[in-house]
Amino acid sequence: MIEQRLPSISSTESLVLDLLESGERYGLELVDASGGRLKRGTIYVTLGRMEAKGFVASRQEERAPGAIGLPRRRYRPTAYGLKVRDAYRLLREALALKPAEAQ
Amino acid sequence: MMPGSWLSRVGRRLLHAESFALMLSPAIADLQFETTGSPFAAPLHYCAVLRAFAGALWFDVSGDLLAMRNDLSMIAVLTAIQASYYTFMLVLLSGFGTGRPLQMQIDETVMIRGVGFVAGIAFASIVTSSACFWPPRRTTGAATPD
Repeated sequence: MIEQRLPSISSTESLVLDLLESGERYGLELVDASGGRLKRGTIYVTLGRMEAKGFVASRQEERAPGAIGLPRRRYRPTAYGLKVRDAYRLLREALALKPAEAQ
Repeated sequence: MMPGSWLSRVGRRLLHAESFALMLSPAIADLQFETTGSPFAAPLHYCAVLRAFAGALWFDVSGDLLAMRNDLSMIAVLTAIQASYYTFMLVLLSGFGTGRPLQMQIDETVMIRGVGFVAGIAFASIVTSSACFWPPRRTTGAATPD
């Protein structure tokens, strides 16, 4: 039998998905919107890892002709990412219940 | 020259194409986007890009090491062969068999040198064997605007 690995999601990744739920954003916008919970130096590594997992999708911004510099990247959540986040949220809530409350 | 363009060039050389595109390039793009801000903020922005670079490098190296785990037994055999070769050469160079080592006094300096030789042999053997199996860099060769 082939063992399928469950996807894992960290609290930072959940936060990123929460912030992206309202619409497409740049990495820096996520840092600003997080109120200090996301750091500028680590946001793109987190987003890159999340894209590799399939939790977010990104596209490069359209460039004006003759524009110099690297194009910025905008991120949006995927349906899969939101589903994993919701599933883990339910799991956390269920595990946080006291035995008496669970009955 | 745009800020961070040298980081972009180094990143293209060192990182996998996907890691560069997803982790380092957006951080540099933000740095370039924010050049109109306060000059005092620039060093902080550079630090953020360097952290992104370090994170992307770590992501690549850890991924490459994981990819090599299937070849661990072959790497171990190659390392052992190389270590034997280096050890044999060092034993020959030390004059073993000529009676010279017997006259040598084993003091702290000799011990430290011995440990250094063993560490050197281990390092050279592991590094060169691992290099044979290291996954190829999928870097971006094509020039893109900085």
